[in-house]
Amino acid sequence: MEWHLLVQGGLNGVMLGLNYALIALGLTLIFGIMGIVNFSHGEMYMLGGYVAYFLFGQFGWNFFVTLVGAGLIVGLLGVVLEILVFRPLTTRPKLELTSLIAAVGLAWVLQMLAVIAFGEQDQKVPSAFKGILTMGGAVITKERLAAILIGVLLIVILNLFLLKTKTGRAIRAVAQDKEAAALQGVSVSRISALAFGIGCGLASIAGALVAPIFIVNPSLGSEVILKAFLVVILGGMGSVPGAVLGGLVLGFIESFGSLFFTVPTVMVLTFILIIFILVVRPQGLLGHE
Amino acid sequence: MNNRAIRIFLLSLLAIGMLVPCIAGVASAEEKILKIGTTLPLSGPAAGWGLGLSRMNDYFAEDVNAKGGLKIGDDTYKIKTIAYDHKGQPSEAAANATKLVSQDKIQYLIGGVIAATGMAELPITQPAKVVTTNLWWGKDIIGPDKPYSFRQTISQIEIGPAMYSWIAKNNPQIKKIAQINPNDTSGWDTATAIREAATANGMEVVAEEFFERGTKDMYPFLTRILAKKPDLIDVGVTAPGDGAVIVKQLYELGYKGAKAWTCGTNPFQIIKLSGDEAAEGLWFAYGQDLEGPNSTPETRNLAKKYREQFNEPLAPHHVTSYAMLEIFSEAMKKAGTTDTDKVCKIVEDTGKFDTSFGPVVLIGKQKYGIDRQFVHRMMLAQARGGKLVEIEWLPLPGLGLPAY
Repeated sequence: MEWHLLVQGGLNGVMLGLNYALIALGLTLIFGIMGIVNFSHGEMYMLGGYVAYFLFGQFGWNFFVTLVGAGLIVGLLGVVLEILVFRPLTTRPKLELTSLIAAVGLAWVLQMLAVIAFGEQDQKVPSAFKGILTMGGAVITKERLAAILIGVLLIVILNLFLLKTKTGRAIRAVAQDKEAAALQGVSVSRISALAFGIGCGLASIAGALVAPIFIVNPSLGSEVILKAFLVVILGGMGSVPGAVLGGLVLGFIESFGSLFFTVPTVMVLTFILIIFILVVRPQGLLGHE
Repeated sequence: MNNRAIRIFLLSLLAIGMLVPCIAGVASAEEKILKIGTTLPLSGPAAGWGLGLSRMNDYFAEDVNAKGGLKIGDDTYKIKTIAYDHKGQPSEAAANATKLVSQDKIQYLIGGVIAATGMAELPITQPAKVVTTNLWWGKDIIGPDKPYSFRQTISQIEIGPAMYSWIAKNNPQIKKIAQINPNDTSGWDTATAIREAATANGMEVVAEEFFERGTKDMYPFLTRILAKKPDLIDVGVTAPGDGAVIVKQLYELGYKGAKAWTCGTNPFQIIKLSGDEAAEGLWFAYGQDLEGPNSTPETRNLAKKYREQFNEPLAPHHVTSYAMLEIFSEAMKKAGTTDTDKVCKIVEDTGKFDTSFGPVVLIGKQKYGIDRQFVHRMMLAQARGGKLVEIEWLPLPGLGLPAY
């Protein structure tokens, strides 16, 4: 095995892992706060891709403004969906089951609406950062490097927000114990809506960030949601650091595995490894019992 | 009410009861409907294949209905098209086929694509004697045990030898091949066809990769393929959306060798999605510019209408659905019935057809044991400077096509 292939594998793994982590972060945040397994999360990623397609690709907006726009537009949509779809379910019995069905239905509706609104065809988003860099014989495009750096920045910002701000502490308090948080004056419903919005906004930014690297179509969300769930289960349901670690672990397994084995073999090995980790540590890498 | 009044009332009811079926009978004789069904990927990564095929059925129906309908025996039929989305999923394709056969009562299912979905549909359509004309590129799609299954395009089994014979003759420096295909029946059978064709022409296959449809980041396995230093990378039967991502990422990873899309349809969309620089030099066996000078006037009109209506180019394989409807509607006229046994017999006996797409020939007995493979001309083309440049009609010896 040549040295530059390992470097290339490492770069591929970081890119893949951070992309998975960004999608999974919102998913785990929503589960941690609300106990909802949000199957429509992939659709937020898809909508982010379309925001990039229109704002950056069609209207020529600045790429960074587009990313902020993607986060705000889809984040706001998330708040509305939490209030209209998921909040009414929280007072009913069997929340896990009813919210799961609602989320699956919502995913289907959003995907169909995307087909009607944007068409079924794949769309190309122009490159935001043109050029290719060479590092130790390995290559990385500037747009991938930018995606890695912006991904790291977003994770740092989210962690600082959760750890250092009053609202962030309220989110963590609700995740740990809703009743205790409410007794301390935290509005659980407001925090739930906010967390849902942040989660959806993060997925949207992830979709917008990689839209110029890949292509955009209405089924984009359903293609990534399985990986996002794998990451969340691997990292620990509800754990934000776990989502980052899970994303990177999955990214590196796929990346380095593909240097030695075929894609189907890597998929089988990935699932075997994840099953092994969950047998040894059922709560996931950084999850709690 | 006295007895007389009751009698008149009952007689009136009887008269109405007798008259209504007669009136309805007259109406149905005037307005018979021939339903043409299809189930295709109308969303998802393979939608680029499905949408155009579905729209060709609609175009044919519009054209026939505008001329007053299809005269079959004593009846004139208006054509009604029905299309269901299976998203490339075999389970959904089977459900849709059941609906088309049992509920919609269709006899002709025109334009299937993705062999795995075909394998799911055939157990439903064959016992019901429903004719399927399809682009399912698998070796088990047609055969004596599936007499109602016709393949409407040249498949990898016919293209592979023709393409690699051309490459070997015109680019003798190409010796090492890598190929990438989706991880399903279409991909596996295409990989076999390309491997056999390449080795028969003195080339070595140094890498074969199968990926899940819809995968977005191909870097990990492309890195391994590039380490094998192939002279040519063939993306086989990959769908336009997936294939465009592969071509773009190959370019990003610094690959400068030859590229082929042996079974790649929809060349304009592929060039648009992968980008001019990344697509540069990419060969297409299905590269005909349908609005170009090598197409028939009828095909040029279809392509122009399509581009104006949908703001995208029509692909060569799409037009084969229109050609199939021409072939089978002519056979229905000759048979004087829509009965699929009689219509299939006439199609088989006719063998050679002049369609809007150009000459089409029905073959297959030697390779598949039954004549159910339609063959047509193939234009080899290449992406140059962001444009599709036609090179030449790909020689297809031994397939019974007229000289061109």
